[in-house]
Amino acid sequence: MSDDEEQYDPIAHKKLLQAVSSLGNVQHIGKSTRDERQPEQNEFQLFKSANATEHAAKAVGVNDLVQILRTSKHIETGKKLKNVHSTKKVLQKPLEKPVADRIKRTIGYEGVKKKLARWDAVVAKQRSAETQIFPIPSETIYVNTAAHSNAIKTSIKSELGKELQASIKKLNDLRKAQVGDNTDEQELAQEEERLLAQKLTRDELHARRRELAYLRMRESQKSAKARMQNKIKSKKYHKLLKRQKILEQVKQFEILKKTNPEAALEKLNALEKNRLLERASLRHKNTGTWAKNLQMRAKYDKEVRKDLAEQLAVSRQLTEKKVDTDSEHEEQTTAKIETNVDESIVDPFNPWMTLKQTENDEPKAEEGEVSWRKYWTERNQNEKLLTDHNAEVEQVKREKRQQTTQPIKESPKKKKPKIFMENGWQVEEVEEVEEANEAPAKTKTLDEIFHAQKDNLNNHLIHKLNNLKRQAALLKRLSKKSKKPKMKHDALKNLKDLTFKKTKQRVEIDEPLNQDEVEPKQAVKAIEAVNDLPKSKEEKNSTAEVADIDPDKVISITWKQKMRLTDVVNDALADDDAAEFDEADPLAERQMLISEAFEDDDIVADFNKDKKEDSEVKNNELQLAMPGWGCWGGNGISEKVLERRNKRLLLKLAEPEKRRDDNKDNVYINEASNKQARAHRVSSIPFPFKSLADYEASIRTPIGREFVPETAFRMLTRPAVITRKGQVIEPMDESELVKPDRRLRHVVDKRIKRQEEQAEKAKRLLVD
Amino acid sequence: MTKTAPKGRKKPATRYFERAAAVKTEDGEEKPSKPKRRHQRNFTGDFLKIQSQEKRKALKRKRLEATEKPKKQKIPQEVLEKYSRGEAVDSTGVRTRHFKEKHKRKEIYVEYATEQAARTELLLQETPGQLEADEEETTAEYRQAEIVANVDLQSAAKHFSLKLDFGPYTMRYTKNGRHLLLGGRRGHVAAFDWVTKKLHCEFNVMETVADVQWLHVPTMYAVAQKEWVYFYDKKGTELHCVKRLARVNRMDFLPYHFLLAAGNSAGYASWLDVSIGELVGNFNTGLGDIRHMRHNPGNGVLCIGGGKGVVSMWSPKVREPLAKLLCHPTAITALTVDPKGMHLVTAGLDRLVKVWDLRQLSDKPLAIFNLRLPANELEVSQRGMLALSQGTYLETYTDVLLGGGTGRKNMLPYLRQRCDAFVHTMRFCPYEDVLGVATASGFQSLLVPGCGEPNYDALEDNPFETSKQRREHEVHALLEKIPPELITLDPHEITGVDAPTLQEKIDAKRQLFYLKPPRININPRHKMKGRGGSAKAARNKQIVKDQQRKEFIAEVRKAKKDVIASHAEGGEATTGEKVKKLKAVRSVLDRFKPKPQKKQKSTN
Repeated sequence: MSDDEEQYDPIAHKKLLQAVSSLGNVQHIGKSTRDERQPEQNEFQLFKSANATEHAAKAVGVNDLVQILRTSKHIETGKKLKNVHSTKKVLQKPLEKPVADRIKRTIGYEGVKKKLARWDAVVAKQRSAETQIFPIPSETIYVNTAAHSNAIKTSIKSELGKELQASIKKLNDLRKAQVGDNTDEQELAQEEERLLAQKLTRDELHARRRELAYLRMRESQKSAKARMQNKIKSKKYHKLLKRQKILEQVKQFEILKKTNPEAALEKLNALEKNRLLERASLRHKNTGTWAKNLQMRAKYDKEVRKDLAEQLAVSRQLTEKKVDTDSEHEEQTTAKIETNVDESIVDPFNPWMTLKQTENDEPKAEEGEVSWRKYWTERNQNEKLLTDHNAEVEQVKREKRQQTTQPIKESPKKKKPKIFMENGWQVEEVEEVEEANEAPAKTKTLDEIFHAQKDNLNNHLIHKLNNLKRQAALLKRLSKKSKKPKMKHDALKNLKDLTFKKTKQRVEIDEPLNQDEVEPKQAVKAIEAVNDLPKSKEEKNSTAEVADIDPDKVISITWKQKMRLTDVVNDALADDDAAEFDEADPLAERQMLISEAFEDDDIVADFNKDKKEDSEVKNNELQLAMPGWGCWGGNGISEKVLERRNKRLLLKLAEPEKRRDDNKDNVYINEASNKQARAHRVSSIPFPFKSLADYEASIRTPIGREFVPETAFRMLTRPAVITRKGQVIEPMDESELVKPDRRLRHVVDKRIKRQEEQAEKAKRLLVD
Repeated sequence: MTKTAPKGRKKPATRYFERAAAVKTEDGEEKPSKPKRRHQRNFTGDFLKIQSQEKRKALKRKRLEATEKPKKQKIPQEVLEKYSRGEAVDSTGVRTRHFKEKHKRKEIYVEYATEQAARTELLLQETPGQLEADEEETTAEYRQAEIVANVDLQSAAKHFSLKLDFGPYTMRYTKNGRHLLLGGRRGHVAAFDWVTKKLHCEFNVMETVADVQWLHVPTMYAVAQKEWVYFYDKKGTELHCVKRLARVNRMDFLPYHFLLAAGNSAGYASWLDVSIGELVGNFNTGLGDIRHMRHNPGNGVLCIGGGKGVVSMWSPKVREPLAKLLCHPTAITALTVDPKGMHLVTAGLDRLVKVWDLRQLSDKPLAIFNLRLPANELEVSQRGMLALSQGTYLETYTDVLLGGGTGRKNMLPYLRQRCDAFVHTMRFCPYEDVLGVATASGFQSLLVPGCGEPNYDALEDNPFETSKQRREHEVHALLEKIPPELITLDPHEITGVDAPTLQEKIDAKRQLFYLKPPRININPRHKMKGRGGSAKAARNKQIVKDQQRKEFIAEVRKAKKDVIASHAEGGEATTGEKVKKLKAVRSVLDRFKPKPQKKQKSTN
């Protein structure tokens, strides 16, 4: 073979290959790579590679460059370039369209929400305003802004201020002189102004760009997060995530509990169900490998049995269904009684008994707590009790050992530190004690045992304390969040405060029959309110006393018609008219006689009898006994028994109620009120009112022209919206957000403001 | 040729209208011709819209100093209380912040209204008063002639008497006190403006007349004749004859309800709505002949005095009495209700006059008057004066409760009068110090100083109203007519909440035991061929029906059980609930719980 043939030219070879490959004339279509900025990136954009076509100029790859540089003297540069090439990051595949869109939407939503929230206060104010006047009144003032006009004095400078200004100017001049700067200050200022005027648009542009960039950044961050989250496999992370979600839900529940109890109940149920599902899948029973292993030994070892029992107790607790707080309370009380009876019988190894104990020990204050928290505390307490019990048992054993005065030696085995699992489980080395028993040679000294015990206890205490602290912190956080900030006067400062809570008005569809139980309460409230009044107003004491008089105990005034004006000295009365006055009318006398003769003493008794009949409640009794029931063998059974049974089965549907005319002998009041009039009344207290008294108070005043003065009438019937004819109502602009409170035109507005001021003053006085 | 101004003379200053015209010509569009102030006229800058508060305030203060606005008079507390409408809404009793704010605002409006109303007290020029006796004198001594001699001419003209021949008379004043209607038993009916003594009409119905009554306007009145009730207008034209109101003894008119109430000799109480001409209530009271009947102006309830000494109160829509009051152990001879609807005054054959509290409805009278003879007529004036007649003799007392006249309270009447014949009807004239007395032989108008309300509300009753005002008032009254079913003992009942009565509750419970499962109609969707035959559809239907019925029965049974438990022997409603609560939920793992016997074993 000749040298020529042997000569291998790589470039020529490549060319050859290319030529060969292009023989088939197949178009190679490759994916686009992002190597330069493009206005539009399409994931589906495919294009032919440059070397696919023969005539296209071959793109210079980085590798080629490196090769060239290697051969030349720029080895270092080549290396650098190669480094760059090898460490370059390939842009990630864009997210799927729906995901990306979602992210875009969320970001957009957040922005819009924030923007709109600024208007909340204004909207709330407008909504609660009684009358709105459109177009919004603004007052025009004239300001001469022409160049030659005098500048408006925006602020008044004090003497000191003027001096300071002068001295600063002097100082600046001096400095300039020192440096040798002799630029004209005014010119500079003008220049600056001009620039500023120019810049204004550019600044805006910048701001706009910055904003856009920020948005893009947020989007990319979010997309990265979304991408990452799908990939995470860490169990711990997911556990944390789940816990976070649960916490969030609990928080929501706490909020809901205050706002919407029904929804809260649903939420609670859902939470409970989640917990149940989760717990049902857990194996805190004797089915795990660990438990099975233990079971083998349990026959011979008491400690192992104890552990198993503990395990079982925990599982029992976890799977126990939570009962209503009320019934729980009841249960607790009953349980308490039971334990009181047989406290001595308590078997510490019986998980059921321990459970009972813990239930008893549980403070009542936790009743209202959410179930999950309760579970936590319960478990902690249980654990503590168990460990305490362990400690006690050990103590007893040690004492026994001491009594036998056996030599106690330290075990050479390194004592394993107690391990606290994340969920509060405590894993104890069970064999330890066994070994200690088996090998008396390896006993500890007394002191060390005590120390260990102490440490153990301390550990427990610390652990518990930490738990408590954590809970307290959580609670605090929750309570902090639930507290609402107080209303302030500045509309800008509390944009969100002025908005009203959205609470649903629940309609009472089915009113219970025992409504009378509610009514007296309201009445009592009203009475209490009345009773409270005199307390608050000491000045009105005298009037209050008058009001307190029981109208039933008013003594009737009795007096007599004078027969003759004997004590009157005046003779003028002795005329013939007066002389006749004492002469009884014969007709009337006769009438009297008749009436006296027929006077029926029973007239009062008759009235009372009628009254009794009228006020009796009809159909009050219901016979529950069926005819024929209980006498299958015919009528043989004695009448007495039957009667007794009938009496027993007679259901009285209502207890006698107090009537308005109960203690009034001569009065009968019909309480079965007018059915047609009742149709005009409301069936339940209408929405914003809590009590009947408030509702009644709200409609106590008529607002008609005939009932109130004209001025008041006009005020009371002012239209909600006042517009002016022929004027365009512009939509609000953002200047509305920063406007100070308008001058109060309305008498009532002024009055309200005055009242508020007075209240504040009074408060301040009280504080002082 | 236009005249040019002389050369040497100055051009006169342009007037504002000339300038306005110039503006118009320049811009080609109209501009306000209002002249601007100098600094505005010479203004060359831009207009800025700025809220200016400080400046305004300063301006206002200056102006105030200049004019010195008079300070408003403070209103005394007692006057405010007089016009107050009651307790304000407690803001804690209102639910959301929005409504709280709203009610706070409304309360201030109401407060303002009260204040404004209290300020009108200034306008009440007339002050009420009474005769004051000199020392060693009593008002009871004063005769009508003396009073007439001492009052002004206008008032003196209000004292007059008519001698009429058509038997015992009844009479009525209109609500504004301007017109008088007389009805003699022997058919004489006369209507006239008693102040001007202008006769509207006078005729004889040629039948016995039991009672007369004005309607809502002084142009119409009703006359209860021998058989039926007739309606006449001012000129005596017969408008209607209502045959459903037969043998009527007594009539009364409820102006706000437009109801003519009538009580007849068979014991029927009837209410005729005069605005629609319909009887809204007509039933037998079971009291026998109704001789004494007045309506309570406070709530529109009809008070009927019976022969057994009982006053019963009736509403047109309720067939039982709303209330009964045993006033006297004997028959009632007269009764009246004061114009405010607070007191009921009754007189019996036992020679007593009793004053009762109508709102409290207590069984003890507020005041008892011991008389020598039983009173046969009673009347209370607008200012609470009591007039009572005993045969031909009549007395007035200054106060319903305290009795007596000025000078010697509790001892002597305020004024006395002996009429020439038996007194049949007495009425105080509204807004006048006049007591009208219709006797067997005519009519007397007596002056009783201080009995009428001195200040009238022209929107309510105007004694001097023109015909136009009367028409206007009629329309307004019609628009504000109160439906008859709202006549209840407590006029404020309408503001309350409707709660079921005890009887209703019982009936509802009772009903539970007789409930039948409702019929269920199901129309199953027609399925296409092959999807389900008619047999299948029928079966499905039956299944659904059974299911529904079972559910219903279970529900009813549960409800029944609850009722029985709540009313069981001992009658404690709480026990039933307790039983329910004690039933703890059983857990699957409960079977591991130690049994009580075992427990005892374990101790050993």
